Amino acid sequence: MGAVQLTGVRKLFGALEVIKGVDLSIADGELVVFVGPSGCGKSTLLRMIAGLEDVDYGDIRIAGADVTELAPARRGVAMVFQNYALYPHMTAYDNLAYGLRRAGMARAEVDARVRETAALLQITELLPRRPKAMSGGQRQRVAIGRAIVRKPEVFLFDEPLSNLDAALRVEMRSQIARLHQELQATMIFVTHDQVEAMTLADRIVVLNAGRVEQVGTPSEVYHNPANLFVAGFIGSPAMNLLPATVGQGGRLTLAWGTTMAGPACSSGMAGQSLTLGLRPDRLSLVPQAQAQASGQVTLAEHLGDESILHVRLPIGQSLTVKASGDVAARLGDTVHLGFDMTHAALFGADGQAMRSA
Amino acid sequence: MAILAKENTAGASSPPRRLGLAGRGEARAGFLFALPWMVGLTIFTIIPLLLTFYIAQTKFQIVGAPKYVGLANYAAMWIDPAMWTSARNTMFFAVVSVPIKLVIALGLALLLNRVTALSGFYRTVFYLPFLMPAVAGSIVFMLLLTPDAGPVNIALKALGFSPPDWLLDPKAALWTIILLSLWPLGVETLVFLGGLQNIPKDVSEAADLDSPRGWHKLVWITIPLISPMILFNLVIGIIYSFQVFTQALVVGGTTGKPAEATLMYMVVLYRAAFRYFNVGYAAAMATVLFVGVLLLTLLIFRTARSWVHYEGDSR
Repeated sequence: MGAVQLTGVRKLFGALEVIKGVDLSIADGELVVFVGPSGCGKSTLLRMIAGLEDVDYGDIRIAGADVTELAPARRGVAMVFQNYALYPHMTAYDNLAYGLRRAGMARAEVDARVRETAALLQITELLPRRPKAMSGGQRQRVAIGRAIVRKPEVFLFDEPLSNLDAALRVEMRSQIARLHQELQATMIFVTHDQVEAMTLADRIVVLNAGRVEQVGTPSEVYHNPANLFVAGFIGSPAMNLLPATVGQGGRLTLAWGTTMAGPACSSGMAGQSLTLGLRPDRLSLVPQAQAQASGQVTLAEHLGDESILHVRLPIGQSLTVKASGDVAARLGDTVHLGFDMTHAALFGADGQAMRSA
Repeated sequence: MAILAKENTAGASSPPRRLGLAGRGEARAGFLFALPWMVGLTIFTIIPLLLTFYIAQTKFQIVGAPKYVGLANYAAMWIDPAMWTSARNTMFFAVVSVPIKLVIALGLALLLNRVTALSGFYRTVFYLPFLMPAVAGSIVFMLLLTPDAGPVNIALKALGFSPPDWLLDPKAALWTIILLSLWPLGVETLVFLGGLQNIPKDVSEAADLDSPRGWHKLVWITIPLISPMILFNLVIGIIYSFQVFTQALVVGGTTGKPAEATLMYMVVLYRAAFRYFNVGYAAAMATVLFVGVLLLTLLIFRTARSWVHYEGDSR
C-alpha cells in the first residue's frame, strides 16, 4: 500500500546541498512527522516526495514503485499546504471535485465522494462557498478534504496548522489525528512545532542542515536523544546540557565541582569530557543540604499548573527547572536544586549519545 | 478617526458620525490630488466629446460657422457604401485580430513565465516593437512582404509554397493588416505575464498534484485566475481594433486598395474630415463609433461577471 522509501536522497540548489543523503523507510499507515529548525530541509524533503522538487541523487519509492521521475499527480500523493492553496475561483465543492473530474470520474461518483468527504470533515455547509468567504480553519478543513477525496496512497502535510490561531491549531491537530485513525493512511507531516510533532507522530524524524539526526517514536526521541542537537531541539523548555568529566570509579564531576553517579559511565572512562543532559522536569527545588547546585533565579515563568524557573549558577551556567505551579520562587531568589538522574542522557565529546555499557 | 457619516447604521436614531479634522483634511487632499486629472479629463475628453456630438448635427467644413442639419449626417452615413464597406472590414479585423492577438500574447507570456535566465532581456525584446512608430513598423513589413523581392515570399517560395501578393491581392490584403497589427503585442504579453506571476505558487502546485496534464491546469486554473487581465486586454484590444488606422493607411492609402479590401472605418472618417473637409459627417461617424464601442464594451463587462474572477471576490 502506501509505504514510502527514500534511498540516498540528495538535493542541491546550485552548489548548495540542502538535503544531504536521506535514507528513510515509512511504513504503510504510519504517521511520520518531519521536525527541525527553519532551513533544515524538512519542507524540501516533503516536496521531493510530492514531486514538486526534483531529486538530484537517490530515489523515492511509494507503495513499492519508483516515483522519482514521475509527475506529482502520478505519484498517488495528496498534499495540504501551509497557505491552504485552494483554488480561489472555485467553490469548496469544486475544489474537492476538481482532481476527480480531471481524472475522468463519473459525475455521480464525484458527487458521492465529495459529499462523503465533506460529511467526514463536517464541511458540508461550506461546499457552496468560495475560499474568500471562509475562515482560516474552514479553509484548512476544505484543503484537507481536497486531499482526502482523492484517496491517495500518501498524505503530505506541509506545516498545515502554522497559519491558525492557538485554539484552532489544537482542534485541527486532534482532527488530523482522528483522520489518521479512521483512514489508516500513510501521512507525512512537516512542522517546526514540537507539540504537534510529539502529539501526532507515530515516529518523528528530526532533521538538521539537510541530514536526519534521529528517527524514533516521540518517547524515544524525547527520552533518548541520539545527539546533542536532538537533545537541545526536542523538548520545551530545552534539555539542560551540563559539561562534566568522568572521575575515578565512573562518577561524574560537574563543572562546579559536584560529583554524582552518572549513567553509562565506567571507571575506564576516567578523565573523559562529557555532557550530561537533564530535562527541566528532572530538576527540583530541594533544601540546601540535599542540593547538587544552587543559583539565582533570573526569570520565573508562572504558567498556572507549572512554573519554569531559569537559574544562573555562580560559575555562569544556566539551568532551566520545571517546577510545580505553586512554587514561590521569584526573580532574584536563591534556589537549591536536586537532580533526578532517571532518563539522564550522556553525550560524548563528539556530541553523540552514550548508551549504557 | 471618523471620516464618513453613514457607516453607523446600528439604529435609526443614531446621530451621524462626525467628520473629524483629519477626515476633512484627507478629503481636501484627495480632491486636490484628483483635480489635475479632472481638469485634463474635462478639457481633453468631455468637452471634445460633447463638441463632436454637436458637430455631428451640423454641416461644418472647418472654414465658416457650423450649420445645424439635424440627423442629415447620420442619414448620409446610412446610404454611404464606403461607410458600410469600411464598417464590415473593421468588424472583420476586430473579430479576427483581437482573439489571435490575445492567444499569441498569452502563449508568449506562458513561455516568458517559465524563463528564469535572461527574463528581463526577453521581456524587453518583446516590448520593443511597441515603442517603434506604427508607420515605421508598417513600412518595414511592406518591404518584407513585397511580392517578388520580399524576403517572406522568397522564403515561402523556397519552401515550395505559392505565396499571395500580400499587398495587392484583395483576399490577402486585409490579412496583411491583421498580421501587421499582431506584431507589437508587448503590452498584452506583459499584462498577461503580470497576471501569471500573481498566481500563488502553491495554488499552481496544487493543480500539478491534482492533474498531470498541463492543459488541464491552463484551462481550469491559470486562465480563470488571469481572467481580469484577459478582460483588460480584450476591452483595450477591441477599442484599439475599431480604431485601426495607421496600418490601413500605409497599406491601402485613403482608398483602401486593393478594391477597398483594406478600407477601414477610421480611414473613411479621416478622409471625410481632412480630404473632403466634411467635418460634420466625420463627427457623425465618430459618434456612431463611440456609441458602438461603448455598447460593445458594456456588453463585455456584463458578460464578464460570469467568467472573470477577481481576487477579493467571494461569490
